[in-house]
Amino acid sequence: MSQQSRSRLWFLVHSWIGLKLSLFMSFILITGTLAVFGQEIDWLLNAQMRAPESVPEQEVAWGDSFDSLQRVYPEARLISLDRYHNDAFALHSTLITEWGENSYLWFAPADGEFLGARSFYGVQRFLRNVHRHLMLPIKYGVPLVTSLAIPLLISLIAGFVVYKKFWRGLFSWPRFDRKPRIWLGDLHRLAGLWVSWFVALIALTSVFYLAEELGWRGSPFPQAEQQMEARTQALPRDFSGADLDVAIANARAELPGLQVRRVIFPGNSARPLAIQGDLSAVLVRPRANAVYIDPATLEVVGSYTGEQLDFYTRISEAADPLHFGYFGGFLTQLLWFLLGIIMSGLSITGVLIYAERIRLGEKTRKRLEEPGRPLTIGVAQGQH
Amino acid sequence: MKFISQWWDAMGIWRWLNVIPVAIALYLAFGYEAMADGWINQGTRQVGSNEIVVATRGALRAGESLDVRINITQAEPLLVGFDSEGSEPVQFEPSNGEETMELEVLLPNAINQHAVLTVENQRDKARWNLGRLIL
Repeated sequence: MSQQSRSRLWFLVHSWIGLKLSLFMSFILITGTLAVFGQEIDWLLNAQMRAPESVPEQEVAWGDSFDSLQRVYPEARLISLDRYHNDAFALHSTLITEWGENSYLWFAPADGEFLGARSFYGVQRFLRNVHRHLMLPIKYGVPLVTSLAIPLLISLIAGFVVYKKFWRGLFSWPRFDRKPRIWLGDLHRLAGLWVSWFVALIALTSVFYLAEELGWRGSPFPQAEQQMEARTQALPRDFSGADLDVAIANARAELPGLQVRRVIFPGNSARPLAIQGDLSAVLVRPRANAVYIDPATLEVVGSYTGEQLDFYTRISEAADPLHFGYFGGFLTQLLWFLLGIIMSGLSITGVLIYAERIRLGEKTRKRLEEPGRPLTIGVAQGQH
Repeated sequence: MKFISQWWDAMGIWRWLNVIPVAIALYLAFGYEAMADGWINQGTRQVGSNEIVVATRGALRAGESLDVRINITQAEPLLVGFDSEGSEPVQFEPSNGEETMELEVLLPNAINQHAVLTVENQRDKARWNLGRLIL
């Protein structure tokens, strides 16, 4: 096969994937882009999610928030109490109400004042669930969505094969004074080149999610090492906010420097309280650093840090921060959002270029079919 | 518009493989509730000698109606409502042998207090605290 034929074949692969999967791919890309700021959109729409004042991590009123939580929903099943990475957010608790609904409760970080409650299902959850698994059961939805990463990777490689000496295009400004077919192509190539690393990152993390969903699992997180005092309930009946503050102080003493981000309440009487947060390991979720506390004695019964996790788990922990872009706070989120818009734009401009190609093809065919028109043969030079 | 029809035609049979998952996702998203399907048992109480089991179905929203299922051991006239000002209790009179009834009760229109369901006969009253309502 000649180099030209090979190039033509790769071009067909690139345009075929871009066209035949355009709607589904664009839907996933656009919902994923919006999901980067899903929490922030909810924050704008729901006043109770906004922290009345931001406080340093050491002064967050975990215990007072727990007491407020017990006052307003004494019978609810507690899941967790969380601090978002952005200080503009109030503390929030995830729980299951007495009527079986997953809900969020919000508390002022400074004094634990109850700010409000709302259903678990908001803009963020809508975008996340639609983007991640199309609202289908996880075992069907995640493989369906993440399998798009394979044609995406093939299309990325094909784009580079087709685009000869692509590095020259990194600084080629689109020719906006030319026909749409020309400037759309220029724009598509320029944007594609600059975001190619991001496309590869998103595709590779998606392949990882696909592999995980198909059964590729690492070892579980380390568990509590020491015996806990026997108890009959998930949390002792008299467990209070003051006890939670002691538990958090003990967790900080166990892992000095731990920035507490989440408290996970035990689901049953055999489970400990887990205090999770940020420490020294980079590109990990808060659950990568944890201290287990016996809720009856408030003593530490186990702990681990991100550095102690095995290779697979470190990769697994890095996948979410890299895919979602929150690892550097608001600035990286903003960057991921902009890159997401460009990536979605690639899908759309690809379709527009294809449509222009069809339109021009039809026009040429009609001209050739006109009676008495002389046939001209020429060589066109330029990029596809 | 011509562009859309050209694109639609060019996708061929693949258009349906694109449309179906997107349509399913949107359909499911708009009917989604963040809770388990079916009845949630809220517990058993005595109203006099009548043992009553209350179950609810669906989310509790201030000012909206709630599906309530009541199991009784004795057929007698009962009032079902909420411990709240302005609440209109629902009266029902089960016939002999009827042990389970489903009814709709209007929830109080207040999100800053607990919704306490009440079932009473002529002498006694039992309460079920269903929790604090959310938006």
